Amino acid sequence: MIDEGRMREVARDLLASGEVDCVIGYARGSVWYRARPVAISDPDKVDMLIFNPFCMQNLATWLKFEMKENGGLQGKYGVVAKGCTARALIQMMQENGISTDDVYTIGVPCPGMVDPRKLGDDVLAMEDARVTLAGERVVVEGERRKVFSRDDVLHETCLLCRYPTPPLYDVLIGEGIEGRPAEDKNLAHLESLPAEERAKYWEDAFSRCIRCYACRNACPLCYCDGCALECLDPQWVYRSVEVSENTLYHLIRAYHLTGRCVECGSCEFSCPADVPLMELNRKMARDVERMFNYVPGMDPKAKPLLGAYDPRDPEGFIL
Amino acid sequence: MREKYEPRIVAFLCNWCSYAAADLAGVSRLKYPPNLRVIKVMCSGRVNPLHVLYALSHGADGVVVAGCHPGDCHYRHGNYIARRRIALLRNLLSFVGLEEDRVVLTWASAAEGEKFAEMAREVADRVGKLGPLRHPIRKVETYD
Ligand code: SF4
Ligand code: SF4
Ligand code: SF4
Ligand code: FES
Repeated sequence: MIDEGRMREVARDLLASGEVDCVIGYARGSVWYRARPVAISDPDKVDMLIFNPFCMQNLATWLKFEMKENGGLQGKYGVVAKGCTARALIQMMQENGISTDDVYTIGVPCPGMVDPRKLGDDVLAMEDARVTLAGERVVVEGERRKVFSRDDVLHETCLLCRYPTPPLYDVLIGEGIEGRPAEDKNLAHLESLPAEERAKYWEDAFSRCIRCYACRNACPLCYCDGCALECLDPQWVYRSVEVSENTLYHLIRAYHLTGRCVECGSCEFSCPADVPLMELNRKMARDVERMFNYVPGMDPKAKPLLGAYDPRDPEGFIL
Repeated sequence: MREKYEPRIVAFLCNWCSYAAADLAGVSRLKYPPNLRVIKVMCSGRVNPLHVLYALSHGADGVVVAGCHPGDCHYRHGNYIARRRIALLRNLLSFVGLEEDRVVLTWASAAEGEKFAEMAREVADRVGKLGPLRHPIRKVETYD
C-alpha cells in the first residue's frame, strides 16, 4: 500500500517551499468506496490527501478542466499520479498541450483500483470500511470483514494494466512495481467473431449510448478546443441520439484517441450506459503497438504517432 | 429501387498526382466505371479519417484516398502520414464489423492514367461485390 504519510509530507513541502502553487490529489469521497479529486494550495490542508483503491479518476483530467476554465494553467501544479495519470501528462506534454514546467509529478506506483460495483450491495451497504490490497487478495474491513480475489473486484482496466508505475516522475512515493497484465480475453474473443456479429455487438453497444459526452469529458486527452464532436461548422456529428450518429461519434472518438490513449479507463468508468469503450481503445492501442512499435505517454519528446511516419510502415493493404 | 446496383464511391484525389492521373485517364478516353465521385484535395495527407467516416455514414459504399507515390508527395510526407492513418482506420472499421476493403488507399502519378482507370475498375468491382453498405454507421435514409 502507498505510504499516505510520505505523500502528504511531499505535498506539504512542495506547497510550503513554493515549488508548486497547487497540489491536485485525491480526498475521501461522499462514501467510503469513492474518492474525489481535490486541489490544495494551503500546506496545512495536505492531511486531506489519500490514496486508496478507489482513486479511479485520472487527475490529468483536472488539469484539463483548469485549462478550459481559465484559458490556460495558472502556475505550477503538483499532481498525484498513478501510472496512467503520469502517462496522460506525458502525452499532453508530447502534444504541447501542457509544458513540462507546468507540472511536478508526484508518482505513486499503483496496485490497481477496485470497482465498487463488483463488491456487491451487501458490502457497499456498510457504513464505513477500509480496503487493502494484499497480493492476490482484496480485504474489506468494516462492520464485517470480507476477502475477495483481486481478479474478481479490480477494474478490468487495472487487471490489464501494463504500466502501474509512472514512466517519468519528479518524486516517487515508495518502490516502483512491474505491470503484470492479464490476458485480454475479451479482445481476443471479439476479434475472433465473424464481421456480422461484431457489427451487431457494436450496434447494441452504440445504441445504448445516450450521448451525454461523459466519456469525452472524463478523458484527460480529449482537451481539443473546438472538439470535432461538438463543432457546429462543419457539423460532423448531429446531436440526434440514434444509432448512425452514435456510431459516428464513437468511431471519431476512438480514432482521435488512437496512438494517444493511455488506457486509464476513465471514459468507460464514467459511462452511465455501459458502453465498452475500452474494448475499442485497447484494440487500437494493441494495433498501434504491433504495427508501429509505438506506446503513447512514455516519452514527452517522442513524435505523436499520427504526425510522424517511417518509410517502412506497413503498406500491404495499399491497392 | 435502381435497376442495377451501382456502388457510390467517394474518391479523394490529391491535386498534384492522382487528380492529374484521373484527368489523363479522361483525356485519353480510357474506359472506367463512372462510380467515383471525385473530391480534389491538395494532398492525401489532407484527408482526415473523419471525412472518410462521414462519407460512409452519409451514403458512400466505398471511399478511395489516392495520393502521389511514396517519395513524390509535393508536401514531402503527406502520403506517408495518410498511409498510417488509413491503415489504422481500416482496422477500426473492421473491428466494428464494417468491411475494411471499402476503404482504399492507392498511389497514382500524373503519368499513370491507365493505372488510375484500372484502379477505378477494380474498386468499383470490389465494392460492387460487397454490395450496398449495411452497417449501423450508415444513415437509413441513404439506403437505396
Ligand atoms: S480514451 Fe479513455 S482510457 Fe484512453 S486516455 Fe481517454 S479516458 Fe483514458
Ligand atoms: S473527441 Fe477528438 S476532437 Fe474531441 S476532444 Fe477528443 S480528441 Fe479532441
Ligand atoms: S459516456 Fe457512455 S452514454 Fe455518455 S456519450 Fe459516452 S458512451 Fe455514450
Ligand atoms: S501531394 Fe499528392 S500525396 Fe501529398
